[in-house]
Amino acid sequence: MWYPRWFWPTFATPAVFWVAAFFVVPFYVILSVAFGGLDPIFLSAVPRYNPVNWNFAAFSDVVGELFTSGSVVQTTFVRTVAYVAVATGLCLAIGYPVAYFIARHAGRFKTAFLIALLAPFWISYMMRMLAWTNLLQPSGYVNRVLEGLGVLAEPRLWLEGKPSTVILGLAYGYIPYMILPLYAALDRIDRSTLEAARDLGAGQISTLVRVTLPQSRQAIIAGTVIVTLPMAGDFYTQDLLSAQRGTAMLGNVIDNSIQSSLVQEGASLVLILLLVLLVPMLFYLRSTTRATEGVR
Amino acid sequence: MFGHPKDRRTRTGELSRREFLRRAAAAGIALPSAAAILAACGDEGTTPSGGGPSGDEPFPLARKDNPVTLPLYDDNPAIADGLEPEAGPLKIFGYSEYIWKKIRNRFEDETGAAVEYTVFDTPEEMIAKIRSGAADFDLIVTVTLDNISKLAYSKLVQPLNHSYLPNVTDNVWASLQDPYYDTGSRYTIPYVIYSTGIGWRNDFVKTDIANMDNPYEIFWDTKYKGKTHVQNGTRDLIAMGLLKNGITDVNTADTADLDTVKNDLLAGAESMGWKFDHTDYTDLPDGSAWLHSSWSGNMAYAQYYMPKDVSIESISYVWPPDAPPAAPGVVQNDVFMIPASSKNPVLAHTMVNMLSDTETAIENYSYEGFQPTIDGVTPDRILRDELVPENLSSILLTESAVIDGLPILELEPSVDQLYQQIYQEVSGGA
Repeated sequence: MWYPRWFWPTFATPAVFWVAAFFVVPFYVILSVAFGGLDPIFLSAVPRYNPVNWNFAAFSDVVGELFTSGSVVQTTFVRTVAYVAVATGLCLAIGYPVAYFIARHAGRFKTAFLIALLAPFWISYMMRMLAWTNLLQPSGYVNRVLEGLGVLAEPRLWLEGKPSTVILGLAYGYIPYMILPLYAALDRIDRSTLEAARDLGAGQISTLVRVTLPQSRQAIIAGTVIVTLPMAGDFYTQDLLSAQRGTAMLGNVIDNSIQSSLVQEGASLVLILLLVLLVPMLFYLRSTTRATEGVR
Repeated sequence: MFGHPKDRRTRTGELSRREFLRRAAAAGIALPSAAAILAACGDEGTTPSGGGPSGDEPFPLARKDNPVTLPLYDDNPAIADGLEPEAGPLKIFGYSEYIWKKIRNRFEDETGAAVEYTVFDTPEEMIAKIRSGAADFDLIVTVTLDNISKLAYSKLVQPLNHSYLPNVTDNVWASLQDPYYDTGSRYTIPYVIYSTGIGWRNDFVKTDIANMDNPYEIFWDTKYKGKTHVQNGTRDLIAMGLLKNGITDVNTADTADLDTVKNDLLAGAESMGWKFDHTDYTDLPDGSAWLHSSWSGNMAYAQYYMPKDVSIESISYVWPPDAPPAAPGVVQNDVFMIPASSKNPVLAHTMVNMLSDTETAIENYSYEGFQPTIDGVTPDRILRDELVPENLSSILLTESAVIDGLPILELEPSVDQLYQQIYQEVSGGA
């Protein structure tokens, strides 16, 4: 059956509209704010939509701060990278075995495990974090249980500026996003490839390392990118679980800035963060493209 | 970063509804904030403030020693005398629960007009919505002093007609009948007053804070490291630092003073591990904070959050000017304003007048918690009615607070940015 040349491309129209409406336009607004002006009375952003009128002073200041040792921007940037790296590592370390178990060993309970896995999605991220603020109180259940088990001699002040609390909070909040793509990939692995490996003398670990892991590489990259992107802009996890100087992330600086007369600086930080996050995104796209070419 | 005491959690949950909504929106939108987008959707240019011709001109900064008379404009007049109330509905734009529902219902019964109450979270959000012109609100509940001139000079609010406000004339404190921030009360009517002081758990903190020569130094006392919380608002935090250093101009533009304060605040944040929040009324009762920079209005709520085994008597509060050494302290009052776009200005005046009635004010206070600036709502009356526990009588203010207190007022743009940068540096963005 013959179709005109324009037929199949028109199917992309909703996606094009979506990207234009929810990425290109907001992104341009942020550019216009970052390179715009400041209302002299209300001290709010005055965007400049015409690039001819753009003023790069605020952006330049923020970039300068990023390379100034000890500045708030540099400190929070480095801290954010560290927190996100550790939390992503935790997500992978915890998520991979979970996904592997569900895909390979859950048997008839696979659906039940998947539902249990998806259940946290039914509750908003913020509500889940809010629940933790109660559980982690000095007299909360976490301390009570740990004291009861003899792990802690006295209540640990989880919410008093502990980096570990923020990192665990990030890992907890985003781990389902890691598990789902991993599960999908692991579930698709042809069992005969695993059996072939065993037949050829590979042990369990060797099969995992040389067969399963390579076949789930794309899912690992996808899961890593999926959790890394939102984590890097996260501010409410820190806000709820710490709210202290020593654990503030770049998202907190952005949040503070855009609610004040430093709105241009806030928008500039958004741009910088976006540029930084393009790196894993591009890596993911390149990796996917190569994998696709490999299949062909 | 909040600057207003009404940003508080509810009595039943961890966060106030408005804070929850703000954070939920932020969580959904991720990087570009709703506020930034909203703010950015205005007209292109460099000076688009409001609709007034004076939008790009500087306006005088109100100070106690520099009273300001806000301008009147021919194209933005007050309503005429003797008009009949409109059919409504009266659209109020206010902080959550800033007017008790019971009072709103009574207003509906008395006027026959429905009341619609729309909540805003922060002054920035309120101004953004008023400026956008997207909604025709009739009454703003409330505006902080540092935003009054901005709204008036931009013709976003209308002058008041005092012939509709007899209760204001009769009952509002004399010292606020002709305030320095709006001489002649052309645009504003005061609603509530609150001090910024020190709240603490007296069962954990044994220092006699009230009798310290400089009570603000307690926030730097490393005995209480890890248990000291300070407010997550730019102006309140910097005012605390200024007062700790003996600088009583809490609106100072002196860069040397501000530099001193910045370094002192940085030292405090580092050595004390300050937590930045405005949830003093739950943090002190549950013991997560032993010391908290607090608003008097918030302290009125502490009684509702006490664990079963902890007495309200374990909470203390001092506003330094009331303590023997009489150190200076911050006091603020919020005001009503009527948007220029109001379609029910007579009803709006009627609501303000109703809330300025003594008995209505005390009834509203029994729920709302922030003290109205009404003659009959005295500390004696409040204590007699058992609206505040005896041991927290220090949260109650008298009219002398208007004279003795240091108000937080508007700043020049460059100074405002400097304050924000200091806050950012001290809090590290937290």
